[in-house]
Amino acid sequence: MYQTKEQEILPEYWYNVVPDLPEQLSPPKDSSRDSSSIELLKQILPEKLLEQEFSFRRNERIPDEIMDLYIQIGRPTPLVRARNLEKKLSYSGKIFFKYEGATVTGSHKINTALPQAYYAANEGVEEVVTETGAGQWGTATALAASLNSMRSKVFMVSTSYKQKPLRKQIMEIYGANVVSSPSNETDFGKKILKENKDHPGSLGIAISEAVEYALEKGYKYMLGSVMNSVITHQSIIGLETKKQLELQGEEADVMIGCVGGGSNFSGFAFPFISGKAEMIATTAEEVPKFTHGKFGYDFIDTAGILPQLKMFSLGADFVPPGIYAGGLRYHGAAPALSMLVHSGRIRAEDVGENEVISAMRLFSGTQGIIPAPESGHAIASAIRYARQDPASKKTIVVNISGHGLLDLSIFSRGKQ
Amino acid sequence: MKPRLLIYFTLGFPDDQFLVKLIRDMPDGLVDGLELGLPSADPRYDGPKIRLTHIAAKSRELERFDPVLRVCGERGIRVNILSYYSDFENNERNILSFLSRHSVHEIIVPDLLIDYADIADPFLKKLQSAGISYIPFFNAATPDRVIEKYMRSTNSWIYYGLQPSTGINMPLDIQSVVERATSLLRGRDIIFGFGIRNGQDAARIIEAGGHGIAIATALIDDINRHDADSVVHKIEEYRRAIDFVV
Repeated sequence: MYQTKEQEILPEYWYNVVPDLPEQLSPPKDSSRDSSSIELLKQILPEKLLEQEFSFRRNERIPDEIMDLYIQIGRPTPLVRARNLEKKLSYSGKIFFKYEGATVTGSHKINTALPQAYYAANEGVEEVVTETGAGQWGTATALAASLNSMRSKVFMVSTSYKQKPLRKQIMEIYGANVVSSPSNETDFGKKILKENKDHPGSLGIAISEAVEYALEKGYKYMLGSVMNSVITHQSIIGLETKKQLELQGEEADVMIGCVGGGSNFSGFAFPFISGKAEMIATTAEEVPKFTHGKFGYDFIDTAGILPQLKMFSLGADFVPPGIYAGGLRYHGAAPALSMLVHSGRIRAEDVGENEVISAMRLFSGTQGIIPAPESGHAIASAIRYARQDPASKKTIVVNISGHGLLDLSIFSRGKQ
Repeated sequence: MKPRLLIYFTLGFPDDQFLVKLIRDMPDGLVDGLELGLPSADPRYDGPKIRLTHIAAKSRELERFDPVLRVCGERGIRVNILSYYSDFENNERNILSFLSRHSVHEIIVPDLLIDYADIADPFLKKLQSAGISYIPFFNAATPDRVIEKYMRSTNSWIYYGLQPSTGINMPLDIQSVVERATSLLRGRDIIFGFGIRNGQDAARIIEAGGHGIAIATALIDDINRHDADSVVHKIEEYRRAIDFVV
């Protein structure tokens, strides 16, 4: 059932979608006429990462050192046929899932944390800083920093900080210094807390705090999603999937993934973008960025420290409802993904929490894997798709971006 | 073939008199052409320095710039105009009349393929019927199929931005950018701009196969100081750097 032929499956290159987009990607934009927030990126990001951010190269070679780390953390991850789910749904086609929960940190986030930490360490940086919503990105950052002999600091969205103490503990075991955001460690955090001491936090606020902290201390900032370089690193998911399907003589007709900032979906789907596969990007009904958001320039972070990107957004000051899938609470989505949704190449779908919990139960009961609540959204979409036409012979491939072993309390929230 | 050297000025910056004098007194043959930017209300794809020149230019009345264009004509200096589409669409008739009045036949529109791709085709037809050549403005973020499309629908030289239209110099490998551009744009002259910091960069572009360079930001401080001698001196350095390669 599990593929283990590492050498055959692991790609030598990451894939950068930019040369294959239907239109030119709008560059990051400054908000001020006489200063440049884009210039800030040069201060907080490793040079190699910046080069990749604005690269036109379709294929970016994966350094040997990173490849070794990829193997160490569990790549390639398995592509599994969900036969019991197919049976339960009486679906005549095939359903496969790519299981990113099989990495040691339990999600896809480590795919980009490793190269970013590696590039930062090569520049002699002692500490990296980031934010985390659900905790997966913070966990990946903490481990990647540790593997590269650096310290890490993680601003964790307050809601998740309270809901997910085990996530915090794991980050601390990997050596991270984790603080609840908004915090008293930055001017922006202090300002928010002054207005509302019980503020639930948001990813936009946590990003602002992490960037401010990195700038003040001269550390490097780790990008969790949205930016193009992150998506390029995440392409390892789709490239492996492509090879794994090929080895089994299969072809994807439908590709489904969930979207927070867009990195797991994009990394999974973009290597297939030039083909004919139908693509569905699933967002939380409570954070309907594609169906109710505006496509235009907006800030990456709430404080507006970083430049603006042209993307679907609910507004940088959007405070999401306290849904459990913290990784899907972000107000915007990656520019390349936004463009492809806007152009109609990728279809967007919203799924509510109750449907997600039912889908997670069905998936866990049939396949044995408890998915992350974020991934539960993709599963819910796949189940919807299969139920719409059970006689279809289409091959559906779903990305399970992480496991949900630390998120079990979500099951007490849903209606049975 | 001798590499081409284009120099960019924002019209109205620092003032019309300075630009007229600078162009009138420029040594013969120093530049192969001037790229003159119409002051924009939203110069979004320029860097902070050039953005300031747009703010400083204040007035956007085109008639004010007639003396600058006239001196270019008198000196036989080839001119192309840079205009953001966001400004063009609100002032179309005046801009076309301005171009016609000064026999300018080339226009660069940096935001067209990024923000107005869906209306680019009718815009190009409109330019064509006015006898104006659209100079495609590409950069590293321009997808292959967009490049292929505008290679088919235009036949002019190409302006290729080394940097990704953020106005900020990001780390880049000049050689691979130039090689990619020349392989995708076979048969066209390619002038590289956006982020050429010094003569070495300029020489590297020509060595890698570029047909010319466009210089803008590097001259702004001297222009702002009304220091014509320094401006000319810097242009001469770029001229020497690219001519030396050949």
